Amino acid sequence: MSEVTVITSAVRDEAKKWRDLSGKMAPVKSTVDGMTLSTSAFFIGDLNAVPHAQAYEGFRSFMATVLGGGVTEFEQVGDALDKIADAYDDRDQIVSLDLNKIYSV
Amino acid sequence: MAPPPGLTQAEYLGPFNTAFDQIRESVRSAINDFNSIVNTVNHWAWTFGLAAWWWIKHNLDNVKDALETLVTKVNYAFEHQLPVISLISTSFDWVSGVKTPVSELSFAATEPRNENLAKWTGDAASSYNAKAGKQKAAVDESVVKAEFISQWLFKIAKANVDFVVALAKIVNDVAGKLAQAAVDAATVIDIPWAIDKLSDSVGTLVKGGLDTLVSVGQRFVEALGNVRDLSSQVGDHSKLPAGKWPEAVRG
Repeated sequence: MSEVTVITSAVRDEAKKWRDLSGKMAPVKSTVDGMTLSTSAFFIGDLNAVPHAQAYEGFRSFMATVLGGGVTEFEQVGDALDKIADAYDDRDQIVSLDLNKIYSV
Repeated sequence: MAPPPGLTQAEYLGPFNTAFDQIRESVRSAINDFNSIVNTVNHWAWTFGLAAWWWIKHNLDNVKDALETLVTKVNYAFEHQLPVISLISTSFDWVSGVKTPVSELSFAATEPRNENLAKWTGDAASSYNAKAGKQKAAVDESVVKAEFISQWLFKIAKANVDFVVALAKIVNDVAGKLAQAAVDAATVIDIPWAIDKLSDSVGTLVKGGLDTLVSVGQRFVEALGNVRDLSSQVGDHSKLPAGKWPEAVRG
């Protein structure tokens, strides 16, 4: 097996790895989507819980957005690696690549 | 405080729900005993002079007011029992459903699936490795944040458990005094003395109990001081640039 074949095969495996990671991150993102809490969940005594509830919701929605970004980026890293492997395969050598093209959708 | 390691959700919810069960039982017996005392007093009302009668009535009204104050707190707590259980569960879920699964991605992010990836060198390879490193840093930062919010919720959960346990103690103590008074007031001659003792002890118990509830409530309010921590956690953008997942790929 030529050096380039060995490398493209490793790069494609790496692409699969990132898509797997994206697949593992997706349910975590969904979990965070579902972790909303009503204001009444914060205290059983008659105290104002609105600031607590707002603070929590701000944090939760921030985390949902961040993790959703992770799902997308992992998937796209996988695709970028496939593009690299394709370029090497096409020329049958480790060619110099325009990385701006590789790392844009 | 994080959920103590090894302590399951069920073990934590146990004392919370047990306290509610005790409150339900104590309130029922307190009200029954109070009504029975009132019936006894009414039954013998004709034997008391007017002054004694007013004095007894005044003391019973004090007891009634104290009971009503407690019942208001108890009803409010019951309305919040299920929602607060969801908060306790959620504090554990941030660990089991977010922190743990995300932390499992950390090692994988920079560990090549195929060892031959090490043969890949040059600018494309180093660019990829840098991107993988940033993705891993974002994973690690998410783990820290999940742990943080779990701790924050757990602190609030703890204040809730302490509150309901304190409330159960007051209600239970008051129910005990009423049960004793119901026995003491069984004979007409002992009624004034029994009511006097009851009014004093219930008044003291409720006042002291409410002070305890206020100080537990204070801990809940103080947890809000951590909101600044919460905001600074949200605002820590070093590993999550602009508060977002680092973009490896534009677009």
